[in-house]
Amino acid sequence: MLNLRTLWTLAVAEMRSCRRLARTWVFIAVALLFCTGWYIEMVGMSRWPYPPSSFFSDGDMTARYTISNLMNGFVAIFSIGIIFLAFDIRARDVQNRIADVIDVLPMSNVEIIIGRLAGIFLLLLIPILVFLAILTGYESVSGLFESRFRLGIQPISVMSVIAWNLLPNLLFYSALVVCLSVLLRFRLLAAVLALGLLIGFFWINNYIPVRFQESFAQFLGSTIMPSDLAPTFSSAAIIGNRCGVLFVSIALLLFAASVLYRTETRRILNTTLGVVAVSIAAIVYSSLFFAIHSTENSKEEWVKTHQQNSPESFPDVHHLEGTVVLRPGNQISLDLTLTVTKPTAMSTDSVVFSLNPGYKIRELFINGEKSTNHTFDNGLLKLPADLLSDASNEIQVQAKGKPDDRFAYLDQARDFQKLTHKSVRQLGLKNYIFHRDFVALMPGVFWYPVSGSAVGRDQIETRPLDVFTTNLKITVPRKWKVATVGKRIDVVDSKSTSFRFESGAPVPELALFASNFDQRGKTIEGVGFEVLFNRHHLHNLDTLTLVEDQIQEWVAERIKSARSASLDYPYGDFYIVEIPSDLRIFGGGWRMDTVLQPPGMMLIRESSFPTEQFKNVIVRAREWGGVSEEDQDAFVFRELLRYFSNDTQGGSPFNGIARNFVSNQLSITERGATVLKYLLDQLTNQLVTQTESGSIIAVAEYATSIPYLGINRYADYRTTNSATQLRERIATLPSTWELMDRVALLDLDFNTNPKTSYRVLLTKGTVLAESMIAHFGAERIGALLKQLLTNYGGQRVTRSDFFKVATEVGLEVEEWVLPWLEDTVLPGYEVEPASISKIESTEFGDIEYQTTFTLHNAEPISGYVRVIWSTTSEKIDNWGFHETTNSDPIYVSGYDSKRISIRSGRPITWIWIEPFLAQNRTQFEVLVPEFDLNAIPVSSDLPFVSEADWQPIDIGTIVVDDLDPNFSIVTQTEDSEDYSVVNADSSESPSLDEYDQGLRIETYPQIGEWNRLYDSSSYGRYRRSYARIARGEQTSAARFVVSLPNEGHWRLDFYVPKPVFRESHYGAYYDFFGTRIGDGIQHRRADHNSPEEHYTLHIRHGNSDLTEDFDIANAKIGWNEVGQFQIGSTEVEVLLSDWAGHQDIMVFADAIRWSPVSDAAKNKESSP
Amino acid sequence: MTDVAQPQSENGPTIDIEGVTHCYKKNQPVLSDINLSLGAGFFGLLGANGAGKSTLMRIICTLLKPTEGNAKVCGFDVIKECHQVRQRIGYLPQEFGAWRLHRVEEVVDTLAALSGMNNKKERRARVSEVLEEVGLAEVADRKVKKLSGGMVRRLGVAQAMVHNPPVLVVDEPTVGLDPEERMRFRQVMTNLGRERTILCSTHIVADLGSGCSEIAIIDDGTLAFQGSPTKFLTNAVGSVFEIKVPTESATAIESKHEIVSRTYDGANVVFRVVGKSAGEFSTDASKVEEPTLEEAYLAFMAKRGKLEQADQTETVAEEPKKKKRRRKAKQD
Repeated sequence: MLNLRTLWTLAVAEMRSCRRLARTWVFIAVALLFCTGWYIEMVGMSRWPYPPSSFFSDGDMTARYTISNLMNGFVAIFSIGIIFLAFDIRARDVQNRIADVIDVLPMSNVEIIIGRLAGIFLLLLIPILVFLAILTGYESVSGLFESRFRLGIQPISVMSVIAWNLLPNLLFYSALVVCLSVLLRFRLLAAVLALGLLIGFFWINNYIPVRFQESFAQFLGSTIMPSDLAPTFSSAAIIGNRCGVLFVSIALLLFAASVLYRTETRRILNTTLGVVAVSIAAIVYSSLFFAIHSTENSKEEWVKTHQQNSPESFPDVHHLEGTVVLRPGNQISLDLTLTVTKPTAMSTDSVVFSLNPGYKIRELFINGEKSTNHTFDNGLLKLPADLLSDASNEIQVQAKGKPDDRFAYLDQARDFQKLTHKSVRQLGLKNYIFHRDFVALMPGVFWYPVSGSAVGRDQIETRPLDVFTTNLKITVPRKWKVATVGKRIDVVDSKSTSFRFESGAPVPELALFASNFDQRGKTIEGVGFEVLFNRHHLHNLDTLTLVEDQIQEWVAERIKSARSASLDYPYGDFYIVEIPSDLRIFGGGWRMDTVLQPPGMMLIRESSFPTEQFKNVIVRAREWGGVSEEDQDAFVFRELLRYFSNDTQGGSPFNGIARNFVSNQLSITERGATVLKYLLDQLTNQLVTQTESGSIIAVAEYATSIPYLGINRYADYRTTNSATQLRERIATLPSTWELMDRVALLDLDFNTNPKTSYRVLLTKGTVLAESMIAHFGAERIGALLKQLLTNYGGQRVTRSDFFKVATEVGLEVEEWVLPWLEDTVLPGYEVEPASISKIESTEFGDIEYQTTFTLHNAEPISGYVRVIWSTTSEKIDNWGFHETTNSDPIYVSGYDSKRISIRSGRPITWIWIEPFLAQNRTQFEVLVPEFDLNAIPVSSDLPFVSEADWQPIDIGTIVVDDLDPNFSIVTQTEDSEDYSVVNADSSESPSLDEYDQGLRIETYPQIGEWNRLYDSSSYGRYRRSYARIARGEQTSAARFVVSLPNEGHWRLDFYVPKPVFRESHYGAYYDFFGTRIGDGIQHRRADHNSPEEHYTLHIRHGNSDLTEDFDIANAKIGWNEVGQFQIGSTEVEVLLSDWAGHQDIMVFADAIRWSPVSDAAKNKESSP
Repeated sequence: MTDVAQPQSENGPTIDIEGVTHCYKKNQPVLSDINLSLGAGFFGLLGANGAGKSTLMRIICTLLKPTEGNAKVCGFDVIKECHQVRQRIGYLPQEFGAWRLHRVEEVVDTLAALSGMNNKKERRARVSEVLEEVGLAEVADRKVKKLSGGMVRRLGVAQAMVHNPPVLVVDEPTVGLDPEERMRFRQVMTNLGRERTILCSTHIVADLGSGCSEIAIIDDGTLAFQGSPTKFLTNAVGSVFEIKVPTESATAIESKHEIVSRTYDGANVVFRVVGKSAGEFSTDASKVEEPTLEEAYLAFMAKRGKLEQADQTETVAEEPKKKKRRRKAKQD
């Protein structure tokens, strides 16, 4: 037995010793300074509302929930403190020459070790606890005074992280360090080893798959998801994990006691107990592992069972009615009646429903008859088909239980549980919530009987999704409120609190939320809006009463806008519900769409808007200056919209609400159903909200860093939301285009390649919807959607039905849309340089300028473009301009040309063409020639857009561009002077790198590597790019191969893009440990005074091999003549060496041009 | 106060060592077959440096396991019942320091508490008492790092006896003490020795003083003598002589014989020397009838042919230890 008095005496003595060490105070001061610094940094970061992102950063959570993340840092630094103080715990005694005296005292080794360790443990624990207490106290007090300088930390999360993160880890590191210090003779070695282990554990912590994090992670920071709505102090896995840590710590202490160099009769006992403790820890961890393994096995079993059922056995549910009694945290009682029809092409002897296996079915009635022949295993409810009539049937299911959280999203493109990113958890991993304070029944958990199996529900091409109406009575604890689809009606019942909800229109799924919410409601334009928030999260709602009128007006405008397009909100009331942050926000299937937009509702995570500090926006508007008094409300409202429009998680009014208007009421099926559904959602969204939906990016892109290629330089400076910016980034990725060029929309295989397929759908589908509205007009597209609902609401609808309805409403959609769906061809635009003229005008004063150019669509398919121009020369980083003007969409038919004439008061400096979607891939620039203001010719006034018959003139030249198949990079080996082709074909992109036709896209130059970059000044028919290398070693070359039509005299030109003359500097870069892993690289223009600074071209034809120096120092932007050559073969290759005479001169390979030289020109040139 | 058995002097030996052999390296015994029985009283353990005194004391104090044999303290085996042994001993190691940043009172109080003195009030009183006894009461609030070497030594004594252990093991307790302190120490030991067993190892024979009830001499790891000081002195009669020579002849005497002491008597010098008989001296030598303990020890060692070692024990051998300690202190 341990003598507590002895332990305490030792602990006090140790504390006294350490307390009087200067290093202790230095450490504590530094540690607390760090902790305070982190806190202040967090406070600083949280002062401005930050839209929820799906790209995993600490900013994804509002400050209130960040203590768990902060705590990992706190724990780490104090663990270092343990090492700092305990590594010489034994050596200090020896040094003080008191070791013998202590060893002679009547104490056991275990007492000596634990007692002294307790001293260090307490010494470090006390400051951090005091710090946390002060922090929490400060948070509480400043909360009373409504201070802005606070995080509003969630109190239970503080307790939770102390109990599960701080204490166990400090204990573990104490035990580890003491064990090492006893084991190892050299104390410094003990310290270094302990520190190494600490870093190692931290490193490992980042690589533990999500499903193992609760059970095995050492640092549980982000594993403990705080919540005000459904506060959870711990979980069985966390408790198990921490018990494991406790036993390992005990074992370490016992082992330390048994190896301590001191006579001890209990040495064997200590070792034995240590082994027992380790064994218990091993058993605990094994149990946790097998529990996880068992979950996976259960899932596999469920999937296997459900996959065995074909859609032929899936009935059609038309209506769902009945009662749901919720006893939160305990049990759900269902008494539901489903109105169903048998599948028409019934080929099996049973019909199948999915219902969470956590329920126990008590009774089941088919058309009033009690069924005894049904089975309910693995979440699959099977009824004999012969019990169902061919007409409508009523199936009554009475069940009780608590849904099994594991039975959800059985098929999903990516199993987030298998990812290792620590912040994946921030997207929520609980499939549903049935907490004593909060209930969130998500459709994905099959909390009510759903037609068909639980897998393949998004394969709507072959398995039409059921849409049905509902009429439900929900009973909840007193004072609770409920939200589900439909208008809520109070049911008068003295014994309970009940509500009835009638959907009024079909829905594809049903979600239900209940809690003791604060309820605020308003009816706007006939639609009831109700906000259900946690009672402690109302500060933003109160704050925003300031802009209540603007909000109402904005909502009313959206409803009116929808109505003007013949679209009505179908479900009566719309609920905005706050949900706990640990509820999973993404669904299953190939798309793993956001689940924050169930029918009739919009869900807002507590870790986002409800706990943001919007008050700071008002403060900023009022106190920080820059916003006039009358603009303050508008400023606040604009910031509110900005916040939501940049939300990429899905909990925003711009996301998914539009689905309620059309696609939620339809069962879209057969080939192209996914694309059609997406198109309908996009059309509705653009008609209703007129803002690009935030979460459309997030779906396939969770945890993915979308490469930034630096292409859309103009687009970077537009005021667009993050969804648009990210979509545009996706739309420029070569990997997206590789698939888009190869596979038509209707042929996309979302199951095998969900990410890139979705990127193509996103890129092409969004533009198609935008183009349709631009082409046919919002009203007519609205009428089409309305008619679609009228004809097929609640029923199955196919692509051909869609075109049929379009014809019915007088829209020739099919001819226009089909090429987009069934073909891969896209418009491709060429443009002639602009010309400037003057016209007489009264609009802009005496002089008005007219800038004219012709745009040609060189492909058979039509498309839209916008023209953007600027008259200011005030540049932003050489890339864009502050003041730009955007035109309306301009329609350009296939093989058609348009003359664009822009009138302006000042001469135009820049013109950009922004295709909706074209082979040009990005915006491109129209060359505006330099002009003499006094020599500008006068011309007649032209309309903005007019027909033109311009086409690029073929002047018999042959151009090889860096994107042509005849362009390649070749390398030369030491043994051979011959080059071998290394990148003839485009390669598969590894990791996050993007390759464009074999060359990596890389803005930061890599020494000795040819990269491809985009620049509007470079040569290209549609796309403008060039290849570039820094510090080549004359072992590689850019190769342009051409087949000339005939031998003879030819002139060679070399195209020089603008970046050749742009000086640039790229600093060195370092890895995590500060090791320099890349050199700094500079680029400068070649010096014309240095003759060795030139490009070297090898021109090879037949047996001839000419070496030509190209004077890059004196070249101009555009085509530059290299020389004229007598070519003796039709096959000619030009090799551009990777070395230009100095390491600071990069080599740019863009295009070459061969032009035949006429005899006259030849003679002229040869004459003196 | 510790609730432990009192020395078993009346019923049996307090420290009982049987056939103890200890080797740090294989086949190189530091102690060979030591048999020793001690009852209550102040027990002196003499021997040259490296003779094995400290090793024997460390075995008694449970710090070392004997390679062979067994040792018991108050009837408890030092290996199998080490916890019971530890409850009954106070130990002052040869090289004692303390937590440098603790105050004197804190050190003694902590060690007293760890020795089992659970009653805070009694412990405090006892700490004050013992600090008074060792003359540290005035520096009770001083940090250990600010104590002189002698004070640290006294602190060592204080911590060893604070819990009134029935057995007190002190290894070279007087090293670093000034004469006054040494005298005080002898007195304290004498007083303590009336009620308990004190095993005091020293190479300064004079420090054993009159309070010493029994002595043992370890030589080359073996027990060379065990008995009362009287017996030891009696054995020395006939081995110590006094020679009186003129001052100018002193050098010749000094070069020929082992001098124990010298005194000046007018123009003469009186030497006390160790020898086998008076005949071996060239001048008149008279037998000393009452030799001192120191003279007896030297005579004893001379008989064993180890006079030089014994001599170094008293003088030269002390130096390296001091230097070593100074170096350590400097490093600290």
